[in-house]
Amino acid sequence: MTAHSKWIQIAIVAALVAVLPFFFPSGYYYRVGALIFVNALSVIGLVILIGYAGQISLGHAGFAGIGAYSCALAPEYLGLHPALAAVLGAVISAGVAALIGRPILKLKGYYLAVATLGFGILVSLVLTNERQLTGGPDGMAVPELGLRDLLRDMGWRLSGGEFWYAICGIVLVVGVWIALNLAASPTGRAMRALHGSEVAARTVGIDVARVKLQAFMISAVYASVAGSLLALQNRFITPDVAGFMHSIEMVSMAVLGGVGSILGAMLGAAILTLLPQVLTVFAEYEQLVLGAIMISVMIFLPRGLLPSIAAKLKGRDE
Amino acid sequence: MKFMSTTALAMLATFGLATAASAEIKLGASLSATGPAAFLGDPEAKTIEMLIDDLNAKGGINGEKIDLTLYDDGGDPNKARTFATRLIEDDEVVAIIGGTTTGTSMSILSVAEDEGIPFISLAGAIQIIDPVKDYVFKTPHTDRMACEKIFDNMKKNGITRIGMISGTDGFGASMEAQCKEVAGSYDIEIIADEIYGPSDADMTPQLTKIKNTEGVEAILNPGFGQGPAIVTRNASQLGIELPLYQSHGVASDSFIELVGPEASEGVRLPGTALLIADILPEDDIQRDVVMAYKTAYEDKYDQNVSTFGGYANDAFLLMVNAMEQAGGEDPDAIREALEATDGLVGTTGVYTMGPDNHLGLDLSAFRMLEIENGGWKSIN
Amino acid sequence: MLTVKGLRSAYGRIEVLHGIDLEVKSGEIVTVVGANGAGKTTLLKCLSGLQPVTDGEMIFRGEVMTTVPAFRRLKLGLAQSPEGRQIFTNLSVEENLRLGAFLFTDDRVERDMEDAFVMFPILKEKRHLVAGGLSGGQQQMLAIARALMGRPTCLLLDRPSMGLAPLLVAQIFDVVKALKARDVTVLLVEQNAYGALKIADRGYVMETGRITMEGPAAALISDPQVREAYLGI
Ligand SMILES: Nc1ncnc2c1ncn2[C@@H]1O[C@H](COP(=O)(O)OP(=O)(O)OP(=O)(O)O)[C@@H](O)[C@H]1O
Ligand SMILES: [Mg+2]
Repeated sequence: MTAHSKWIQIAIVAALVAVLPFFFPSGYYYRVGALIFVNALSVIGLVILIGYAGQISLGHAGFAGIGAYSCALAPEYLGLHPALAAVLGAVISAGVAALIGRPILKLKGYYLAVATLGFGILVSLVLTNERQLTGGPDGMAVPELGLRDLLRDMGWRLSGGEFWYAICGIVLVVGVWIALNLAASPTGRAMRALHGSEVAARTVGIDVARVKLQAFMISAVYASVAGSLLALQNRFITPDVAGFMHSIEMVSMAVLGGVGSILGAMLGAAILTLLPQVLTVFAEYEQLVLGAIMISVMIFLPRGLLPSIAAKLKGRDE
Repeated sequence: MKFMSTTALAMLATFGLATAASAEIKLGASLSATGPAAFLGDPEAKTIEMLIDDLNAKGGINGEKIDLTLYDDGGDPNKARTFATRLIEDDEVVAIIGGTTTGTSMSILSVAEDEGIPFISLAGAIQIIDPVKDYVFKTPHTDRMACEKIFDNMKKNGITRIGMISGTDGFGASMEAQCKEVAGSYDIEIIADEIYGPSDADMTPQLTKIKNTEGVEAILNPGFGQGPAIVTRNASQLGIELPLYQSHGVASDSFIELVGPEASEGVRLPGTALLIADILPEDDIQRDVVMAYKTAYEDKYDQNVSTFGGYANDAFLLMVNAMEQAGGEDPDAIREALEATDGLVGTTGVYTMGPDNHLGLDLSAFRMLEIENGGWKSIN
Repeated sequence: MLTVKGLRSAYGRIEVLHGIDLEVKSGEIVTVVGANGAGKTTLLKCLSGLQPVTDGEMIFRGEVMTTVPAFRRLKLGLAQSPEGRQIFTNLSVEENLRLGAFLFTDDRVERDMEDAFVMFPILKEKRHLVAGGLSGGQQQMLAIARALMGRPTCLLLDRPSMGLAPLLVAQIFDVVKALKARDVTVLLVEQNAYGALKIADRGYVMETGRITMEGPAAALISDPQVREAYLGI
């Protein structure tokens, strides 16, 4: 990837975040926008893990759960500011990823998928069963971030929707920037190299186990931050955030948009966040339509929407 | 300031489905009609839709029809919050009914509270209205009230020492905790305490332990779904003669069907008037309301009414009453009127709200019921 | 420079190397020739650390290598260009070369890359293209160039002529020969015994996991047995 295309991609994302609100007819669209950004963030994490490093995870919602519950638990039990709690969540997620990644990243393919799946289920079980701490399946409240009030005192009045749209948008742009820089860095190249051929990666001196672990940890941090953002803006969190369905949703978004491309991942996140909103009229068929879309994309555009379309536009000379 | 490019228009048109019609009161609802809580949300959604149709056919409120926007949040709190935002910001509703589960209700309520839109939840947890929030109300009684009702009945029967066997599912564990909190104030001592998992198929060992505990006078089983049915059957198989108290979580005819009339004989539980509609005495204050709802629902959907649909019915009655009182669609006026609700009769109980009480039910909302010959008998 | 003593290795319970002894001296080109399935690739994989060793010893520049993990061996100066090219097909040519220098961050990386482009001008032309789009010969050049980016003192080459047209084969062998001038010691594994022995200083013949013959390349090439079995003359 050239430096050139990196800045173009960041500019596209930043421009989208900044310009879209001009087309919003009501405050509700800020909410949808913020959700898309949050989902895009965790999907970018998966692009790093799946797209760059070629490792699958069906348990990443577990990290979203850690990030989300950190924002609920740390302020209550440790007296931490919610923003610091989000940072703590990211640190814990990275730590947990390092701990479990060491043994399970030795696995490949289906085995890795099942192991990560187990991890996700474990987290959601703990969140569900430790009801003294987490409120169990009923969930628990998350404290106010406080930044909005601060801005208001400074004379900058934002609605809840606008505020979270802005926060999530900014975090997303930063997330894109980090991911693109990573891709161009030696570590990112090493990830993409081991995706291509682990044997060759070893022969050029890449510590394959370590690079895989790095990808796993970085993607865990992305999911954790996304989970924190979700918790902080929803002000309430249930173990669903760590649930299997959420993990699957993340992977679906990544695969739909194109798992190797950051912009593609964002497109996937946008589509799968918007669809349920568009399909409310056909709520009963929502799952059906989603399934049909996923299957069609897998059959007709196996590399995902964006890469496939880009390839078509460029012509077939590649 | 709206710059509408054609592409943006096309994109937005797909989900800007709301149509502006004047002289209609816009009411919003987000319910879990599908998903894991569908057995609650489905009758709730059907109830609301039915009631709206009826009301509009009769001319609406003060001549204005009600325009209902109903979303299915599938039990997902995140979706529920998005729909709440959409209802308020996009559909511009003046009030919201919904939140089938505690999680979805908690998500909706913070939006409603922020935006100053009155909201009536259909979920059980006490934290929804305690502490009291200006715009948030709810119709179902709390688990704690069920515990109190049960202990009250035990006390009347001279029972002071009991054994508990609780499900570890969300409902069971929550009620177990509530019951233990209030047991002391009814002089009830829990001298045997057992649990079972949501997928356990045999509770004989736990029941045997309780049976063999010296001095146990009754058994209480907070739980939901299959568990209480198995407990009841096992207790009967073991020949346990002690009174068995079940919770409002299984207060439905299907529980008797599941257990069988013989094994369920003598089981006591707190239920609502709706469950015993057919045997309510003529002069019962709730009789008319309960029969009206039951008849209408069962005629329309050819399906038994449930307590949960009853919660929705009551929320609707409360809302309509408040809108009539408020004489319009100003959210703050509706909120005031809701808070001023006084003696409104619903299927769940009689509601009297106040600034520090956004539930408005007392223990009389529950009827203590006993199963007799495969049917219900009031033992108040 | 590189000494192998009594090396044994197995896939599961099936032993495929039954005690290999081999010696590569500094500045030499040494070739190991042998038929399909003789165990040549397995030997190289043992040397580069991709394949576990059950017995025996490998000493590289005075250090015992047997337990050093693969990714560290390059740092010690031992590079491998694996069989079947194994380039990173989804990355650009330039990225492949940069990955060859994964261990280094100094200015020499750019110079080495320019060197590689001088040695293989075609790679410069295609530097921004995806490596998977290169022809077989170009991919082999890239694999060798990438291995050289790791600044090896000793390069292990596994069948660089595999699947190439005769003209390209000659070109590849010329490149290998030229490595000598750059002070790179080469251990070359080949089925194309004639081509390999022609550019090598010394050679080993391998048969089903054993070394059956060794000597100066010129001697082997004229050995009647070798000629019959491997050169088809
Ligand atoms: N991954 C493996 N698992 C099991 N057996 C293997 C494996 N790889 C190679 N073998 C066996 O080990 C023996 C040596 O194989 P190797 O690849 O080292 O031969 P080679 O000399 O490189 O052959 P070629 O000239 O075809 O490349 C063969 O009998 C082969 O079948
Ligand atoms: Mg081979």
